[in-house]
Amino acid sequence: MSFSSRKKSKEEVIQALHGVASEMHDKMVKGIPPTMTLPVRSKSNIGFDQKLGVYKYGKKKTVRDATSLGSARQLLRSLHVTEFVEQMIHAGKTSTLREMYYISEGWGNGKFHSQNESNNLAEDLEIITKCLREDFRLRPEDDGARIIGNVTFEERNRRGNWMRSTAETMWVTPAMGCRTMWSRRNSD
Amino acid sequence: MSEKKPSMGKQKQIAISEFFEKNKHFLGFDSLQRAIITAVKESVDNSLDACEEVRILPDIRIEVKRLEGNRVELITQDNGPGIPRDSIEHVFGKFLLGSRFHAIRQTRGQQGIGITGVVMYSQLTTGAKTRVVSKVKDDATAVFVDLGIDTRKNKAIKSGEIRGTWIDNVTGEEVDHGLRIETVMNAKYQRGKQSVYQYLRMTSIVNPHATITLTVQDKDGEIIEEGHWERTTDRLPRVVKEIKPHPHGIHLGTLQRMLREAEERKMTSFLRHNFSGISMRAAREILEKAGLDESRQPRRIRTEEAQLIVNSFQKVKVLNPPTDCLSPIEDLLIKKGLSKAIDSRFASTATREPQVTQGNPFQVEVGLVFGGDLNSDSPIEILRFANRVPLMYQQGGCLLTKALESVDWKRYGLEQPGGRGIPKGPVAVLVHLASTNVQFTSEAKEAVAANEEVLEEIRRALLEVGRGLKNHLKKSSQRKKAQEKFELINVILPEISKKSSQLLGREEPDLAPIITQIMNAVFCEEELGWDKERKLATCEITVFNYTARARAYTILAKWPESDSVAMKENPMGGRKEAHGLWAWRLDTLNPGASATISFSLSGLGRGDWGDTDIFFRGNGDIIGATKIDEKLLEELRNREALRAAEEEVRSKDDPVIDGLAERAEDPLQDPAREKIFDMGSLAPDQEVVE
Repeated sequence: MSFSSRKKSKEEVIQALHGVASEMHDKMVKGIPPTMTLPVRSKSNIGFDQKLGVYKYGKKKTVRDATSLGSARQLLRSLHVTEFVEQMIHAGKTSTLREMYYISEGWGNGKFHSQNESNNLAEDLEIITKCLREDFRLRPEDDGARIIGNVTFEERNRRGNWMRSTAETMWVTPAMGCRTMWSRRNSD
Repeated sequence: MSEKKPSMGKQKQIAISEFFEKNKHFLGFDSLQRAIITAVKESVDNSLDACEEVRILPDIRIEVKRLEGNRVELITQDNGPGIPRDSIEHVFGKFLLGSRFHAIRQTRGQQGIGITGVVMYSQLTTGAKTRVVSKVKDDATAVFVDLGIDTRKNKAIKSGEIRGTWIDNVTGEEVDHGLRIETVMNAKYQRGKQSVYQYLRMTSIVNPHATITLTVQDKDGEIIEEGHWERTTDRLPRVVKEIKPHPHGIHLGTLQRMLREAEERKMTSFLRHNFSGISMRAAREILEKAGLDESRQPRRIRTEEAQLIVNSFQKVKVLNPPTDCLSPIEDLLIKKGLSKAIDSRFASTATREPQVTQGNPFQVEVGLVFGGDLNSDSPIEILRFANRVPLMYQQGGCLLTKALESVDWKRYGLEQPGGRGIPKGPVAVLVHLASTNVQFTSEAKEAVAANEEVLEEIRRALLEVGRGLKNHLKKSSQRKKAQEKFELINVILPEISKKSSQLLGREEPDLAPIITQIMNAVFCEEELGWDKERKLATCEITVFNYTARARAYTILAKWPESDSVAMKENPMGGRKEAHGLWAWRLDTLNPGASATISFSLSGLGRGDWGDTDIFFRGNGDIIGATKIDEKLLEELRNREALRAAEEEVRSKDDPVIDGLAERAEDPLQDPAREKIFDMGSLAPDQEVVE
């Protein structure tokens, strides 16, 4: 399994998402309750990739099928998200996770009850389709993502000289750039 | 107490006020908060008793007004028979006037303190007189009189007596009969668990035939609390009979007094005439065991001999005392009373057969309500009653509470921290002990004293309602599950199919085989309703076959059959299976098919029918219905046939057989009725009582 950092094309994203829908449809055609297969999201199913220096999901899969009301709802919701992403791709628009949550209010039986639910489902779809949420045209809210750990920054000061700074914790908001909510340890 | 006074002789007679002052704790006037409750209690008890005696449906109105300082004005008014002018002084002015003191039957009060205590308390604390307005039906006018008490002579002092027309201050109409008491006393009106409000609420539960109204006003006339409890039945409690003492509960002193006053010439006839449950055979046996001659004169029996008789009473088998001296509230009325006072979803009740302990008949009734407005995080509410009188104090020390604590409520679906004690949950439990002689822990009559047999009876009654609750919880969780499944297949699944086909641009798949796979069961749903226009209770039962095979069933439903309740519409026909149990044979249900049975009942009020049980006969389980226990059904039918035969014989008006049938009625009728109304008892998998 490899997450490519390369930005996927529109067609690739749509195709990947259609894979989710077609898994459901194929099952139904066979007279079997629709399913959605995703990697087990537990600590035992992640391993550290030495080469890339990131944690990756292992091989264990879990199947969400429509035999209980809760998981059937999840399936319906992923179809709604798929449709929403497709519309955005065609219209060349983007949206934030929060916006999607609010838009989902109009999805009838496929609506979310809390933003956590919609965030988690977006994450599920990222994993299944091996896409990034940016591919889905979903961007985090301003102040929405967090990097934890030591980060080194290089920035140019007013005199035009490069300077490095190392921060222990820092908040990153792609729209606004850096926010100075970090403790400066050393600057040389 | 009353018997002591004449024998005091030279000793100084205690003034009644002094006696009152010293003993006010057990007369219920020991604190300002309690005084007002006791005063209300005494007057409400009197009103209820008076109304019942002359068979009037009681309308009772209580007004409380806060005055300056600790003063409170209490006004109570009823529509009872009123008190004739000449008796007013007696009723309100004399202590220990025990019309009910010696009689052995179930009554509310027994002390003989009653309303006189209220007049006395008012006089002692405020010096004020109590105003009484009384109207007797046969008199043209009402009597208005102010009463005080001459504490030396234990007598009422009347003043300002006039006669006139009594116009009700609320309705503005002339009062035909009734009694109104206005009194001022030192007291404190408070709200909460131990309050006048709570007392009246509890009273209304066990007196469903009474309408009770309460208004509480502040100093400036503003209404700060109100309560109105409408009657839920027009049936008065049955008149209780007085019974003779039972040998098992007799003390030496009482026996001696009876012997002294006896008019019989022989001991055998003395025993047979003055005690309940003693036959000629038993009388002979008692005397033989005591070593006394049958023909001895009762008045000549010496103390030692009397003791021997008391001893032999315990050794001889005698009949139990009759139980028609008890007046149970009965299942349906408990249910109505509870649902009037407490908003709830489910009610289960149990009325046990009368029993005897130490020569005193007693009967236990229990009711349990669940859900609705009740708080689910706090301990359950316990409503204790003895002879239809609410018990509000000393909950922890009361036998009724102890019985409740001895039940393992976890088995019945309630939380019980530590496996003992009062359980938690959205539940209120009513426990009513009716007896000719309720044993209290103290004179204050706040808690019932320990008694093994009574405890066991209450426990059994509680287990009975506990089973009802468990059944209800099981049913509602089953129903919830079924509803979820229905939503899944009828709403969500079609949407998944539509959406995915749309996204992919493919054909929509056939969902039938998927639905069968998801459900893989037969479901049954019932819905009870109310046809407002035609005043009919309706019931609709739908059976869905979501299996891959065709199924055939007979569906049976419980309905509240009685003389006044009849099947009105029933297009599916079917047949009567047993009393209150109707059966319909369904055509074969193919996979994916459903069938609906609907019927309506006349003779019921809105909300009277809130619960039914569905049973089935056939292969393969039905979710939402229970397989019928054929053996139990058979037994039920046999009992009914027997009863019908009995009925027929009785209608021929043969006095001998009449008596026989009457005697045979109880053991036959009651278990059967109990069975069929005990929810889910027709199901084969009955839980076993510990």
